Amino acid sequence: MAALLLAIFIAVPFLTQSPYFLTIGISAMIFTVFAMSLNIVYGYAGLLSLAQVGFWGVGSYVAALVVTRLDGSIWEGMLAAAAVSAAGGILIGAVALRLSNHAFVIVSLCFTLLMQMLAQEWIDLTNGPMGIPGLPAPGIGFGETSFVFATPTHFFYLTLAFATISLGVIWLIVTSRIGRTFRMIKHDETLSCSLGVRVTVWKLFAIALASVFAALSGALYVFYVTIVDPLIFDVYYTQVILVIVIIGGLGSFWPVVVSGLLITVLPEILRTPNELRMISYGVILVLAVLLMPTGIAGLVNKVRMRRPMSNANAAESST
Amino acid sequence: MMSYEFLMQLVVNGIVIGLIYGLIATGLALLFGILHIVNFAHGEIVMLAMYTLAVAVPFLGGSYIASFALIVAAATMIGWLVSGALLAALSARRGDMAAFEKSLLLTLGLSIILLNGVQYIFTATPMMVTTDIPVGAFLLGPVRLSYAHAIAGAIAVVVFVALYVFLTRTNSGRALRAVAQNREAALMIGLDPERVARRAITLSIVLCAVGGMVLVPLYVFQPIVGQALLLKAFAIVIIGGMGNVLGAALVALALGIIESMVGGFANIVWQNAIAFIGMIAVLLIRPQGLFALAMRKG
Repeated sequence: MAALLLAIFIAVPFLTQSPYFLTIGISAMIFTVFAMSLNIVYGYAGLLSLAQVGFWGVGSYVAALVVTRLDGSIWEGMLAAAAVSAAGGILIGAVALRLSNHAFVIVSLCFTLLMQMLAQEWIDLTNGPMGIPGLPAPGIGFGETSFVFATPTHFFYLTLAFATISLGVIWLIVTSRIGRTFRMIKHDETLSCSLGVRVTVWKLFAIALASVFAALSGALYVFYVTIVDPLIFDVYYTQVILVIVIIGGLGSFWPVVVSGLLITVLPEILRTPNELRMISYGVILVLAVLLMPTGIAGLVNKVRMRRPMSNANAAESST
Repeated sequence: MMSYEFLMQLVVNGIVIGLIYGLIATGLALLFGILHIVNFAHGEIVMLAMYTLAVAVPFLGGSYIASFALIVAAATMIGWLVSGALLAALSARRGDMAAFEKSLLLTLGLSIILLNGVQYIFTATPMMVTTDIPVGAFLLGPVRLSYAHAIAGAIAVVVFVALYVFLTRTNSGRALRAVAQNREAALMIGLDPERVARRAITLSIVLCAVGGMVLVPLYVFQPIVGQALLLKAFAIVIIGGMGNVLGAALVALALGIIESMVGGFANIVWQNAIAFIGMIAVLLIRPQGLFALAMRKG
């Protein structure tokens, strides 16, 4: 599955040089990583976090500010974005989890809304609604030679590398002992406690991990669109990643990757005005919750249940 | 600058805003207390009421009170219908999503549909509604209280008194409190939880609608207004203790006054951050909320 997807994506720029299709590909990959960050904290660890968009925005602002104000490179910016977001995630999580998982949902939403207000109104730092335009294209320098990812094709491969590495790391984590711990906590917190799992510490780790990937994908995204403004905190993004994760199936890996690619590409092909597109995402979210809360992963499992043992290998790779 | 008149003016404005926050936050507290669900479309219902009022006023010859009464009646009916649908959706058994999580995702989807639907129809252009409320102000000593603020405050006070009487003096109100206190015991004495739940949802929607409509003459608004109000309502509910209606009302009043003060003396950035900072502080010091009697688990 992984090799197939990778091969398809490597081939894309050879088939088309059209910036339009490359842009769709780039945003599909970035959003898949972004949605996977929500899947870590919500799907695996069972903590619904509406702060993912907050971290994605904070990450993009931090990266943009490091580059424009401190003359850093985009890589330093991304590093700073990851560090700031992880710290923020742990802080918010530590405070909100004192009450309950329910409180965490609400605090995480409030965090995102607050960050949006700050981005709009803390004009000295963020330039307010005007945003920070003209972000430079990312580049790599080795001594004398340097390389700038200026064309859509270059950026496509940069994003592909980013998505491959990020998803690879996430896959390694969620299929490891850590991922099993997350799932155990989601399934039965009291039992995990009694078995000596430090539940709050692991939850905080999930939150921090998720915020790092949200921040990184946000930072890369704004350097592609070359501007960051308060709209980066738009509830639109929350909705897109929630739809991706729920349609894919909470706590599943490959189905979420597939739904991430599908759901970002489909609306581009069915061109619609923005409001109608958002409404349709809203309708999809409501219908998915009502009709198929287990997502694609649930459907796949159901089919597999009918034909036991025939597909054991695929079962391994889809979790 | 820091004169007594100015201070009093800020307090009076703050009280009016606080009362309006109270209308919106108590609805949310009621839902959480009785049904243990959240409503992310809460702010959008407020916004919807504002736009409905904006449409209704010109039709009814500019009469604010007539439109107000009409929309309250409509909100009651729609609330009753919506409550039935929502409860049916929440109790449907598919997958292993808990009611809380399901309510959250459903209302989030709904809020986005409403927000973008309104934005599509009315565009994001700021909206101003001229009503028959005269432009002018009472003079209370050195403090000016505009007629619009006075009407908003008066309506909010009347609604609060009515809500208090309903919750403490009528049987249906007592039933609501009984279910909030102890669901099993309420079942045992023969209360119908479904009817109680529908009443709570309807009440919460009507409170939202009232909160939205009293805001209309005070501000120029955009479809996004519901989001900012939702943030504050959530913060109020957490500070007051999740599910505590009286706590929510008191915190709302305090938040209105504090915000007004901060807005008068400091940067506007801080004005919007107050609710969030207060919420974090309360979670650190007293996570069950300022007015909670006992810790609510889970």
